Amino acid sequence: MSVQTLLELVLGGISLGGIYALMSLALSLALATTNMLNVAHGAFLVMGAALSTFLLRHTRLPWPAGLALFIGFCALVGWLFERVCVRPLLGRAPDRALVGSILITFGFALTFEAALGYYWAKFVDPQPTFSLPVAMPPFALFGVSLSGTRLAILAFVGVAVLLFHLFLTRTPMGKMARALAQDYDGALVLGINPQAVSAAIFTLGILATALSGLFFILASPLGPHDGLRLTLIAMTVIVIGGVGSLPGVLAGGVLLGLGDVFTAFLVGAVWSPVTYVLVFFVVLLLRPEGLAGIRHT
Amino acid sequence: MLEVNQLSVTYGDLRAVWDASFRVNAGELVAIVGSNGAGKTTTLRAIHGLIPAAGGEIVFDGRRLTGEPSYRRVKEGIALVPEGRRVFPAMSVLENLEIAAFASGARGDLRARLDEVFELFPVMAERRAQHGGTLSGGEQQMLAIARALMARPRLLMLDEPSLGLAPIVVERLYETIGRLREQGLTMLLVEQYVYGALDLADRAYVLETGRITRAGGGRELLRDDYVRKTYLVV
Repeated sequence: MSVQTLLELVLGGISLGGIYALMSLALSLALATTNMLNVAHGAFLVMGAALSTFLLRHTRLPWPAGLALFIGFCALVGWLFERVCVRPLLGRAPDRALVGSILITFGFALTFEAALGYYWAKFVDPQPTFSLPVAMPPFALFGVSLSGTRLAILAFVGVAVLLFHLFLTRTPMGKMARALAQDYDGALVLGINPQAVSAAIFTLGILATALSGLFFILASPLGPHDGLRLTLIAMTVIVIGGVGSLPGVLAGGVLLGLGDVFTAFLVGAVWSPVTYVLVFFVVLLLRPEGLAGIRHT
Repeated sequence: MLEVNQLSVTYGDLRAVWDASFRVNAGELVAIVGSNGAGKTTTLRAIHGLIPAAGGEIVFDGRRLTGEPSYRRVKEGIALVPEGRRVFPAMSVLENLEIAAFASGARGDLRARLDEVFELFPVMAERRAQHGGTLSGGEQQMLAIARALMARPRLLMLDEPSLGLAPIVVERLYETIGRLREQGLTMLLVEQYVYGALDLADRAYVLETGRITRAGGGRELLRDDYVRKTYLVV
């Protein structure tokens, strides 16, 4: 394996892992603050992929208008999703909220996938694949050329993670979300309105996930039925990294991304899921509390 | 200021509080004492709206509060220092206090309120950058009270503040509660530490298996034969 190939694979793995990390961050934040596990989370990444493909390839909109429309639509969907699927369960006993949310969001994900596949094939393209083949010039560094697309993805992930971090540590809403995650009852007695926090977390999380869908398909295409697979990856990342830990989720995401890319290169893409399980198994064996989780004694 | 009329609270088939009626007048420190499992915490949680009442009514300043969500109570002026302190372990003392100000809608007034609280608890000012989880039990209790005060409540409810603290720390804590009373703050104190609570309280109620069995002045109950036999070592 030449240095060039190795660097390309590492960059590919890190950028893919960054997307996994961002998606998992949004999922784990919702889980930690509301006790809801959103099984439809991956479906929102697919939604972002589908919507951006539609707006940028199947309409004649100039891209800034398309992007603005994209952001507005995805934020609205996030807000509506919280209202309809999450809000009714909010404030129930933790086990009921968890089980209820899994059932509701699983149903949502199945409906969404079926509807998207069917109507896309009927009205847009009989072969539903979502991709944005934008040619970006490669970037030369120390005599090796790095893919411009991969670097763009990496830059997006970096900015998005930084914004998430600033939101959580600097804004009142972010601080209240962390407070709810650290001690739900302790936060309630101070007068924190869990519904307002839940609406903000789901709207932002779904918007960020949909945006990562847009960047995901710059590098590799997605189909309408990839949502649940992506949710499974996000859950794996959260377990590996530890719930509610930003560095843990980043490390977990990059670990899976690298495993994914190297497995695909060395033995074939069909074996990627095996790597997830393997990484999952090894991490749980060595650090059952997750990479950055707190060990409870 | 606070009037609780025939409050009942149930957990499934289990009735935790039966027809409890009591009141807290402005400026008073009222204690509810009783042993573990008597329904003291349940009563406070029902007043704060964290659990629904099965019957009866809660009236604060002439307004019926029954049925409103918990987060509204804070804006009404009722603060609760919960049992077990519940400080945010992975946040600094300052953040713990800030969040309390944000949650009660007092963002613009943050500085003034922090100054007030730091004056009352100078230790909190020293420890402002330290994480809540690294404080001692006594300091965590002070933080929990300081946090509740950030909302500038008209009624402060304290749930077992002495729980798990060393006697010397409890003594200092009670001094602080005494100082808050001198400042005119109305308080409802729930305790298993019967002696300390009755000694400090203007009036008190004894709660036993969900029913109020005795009421009277704090010192008066301290001299009551039944209370002495049941709750105090004589």
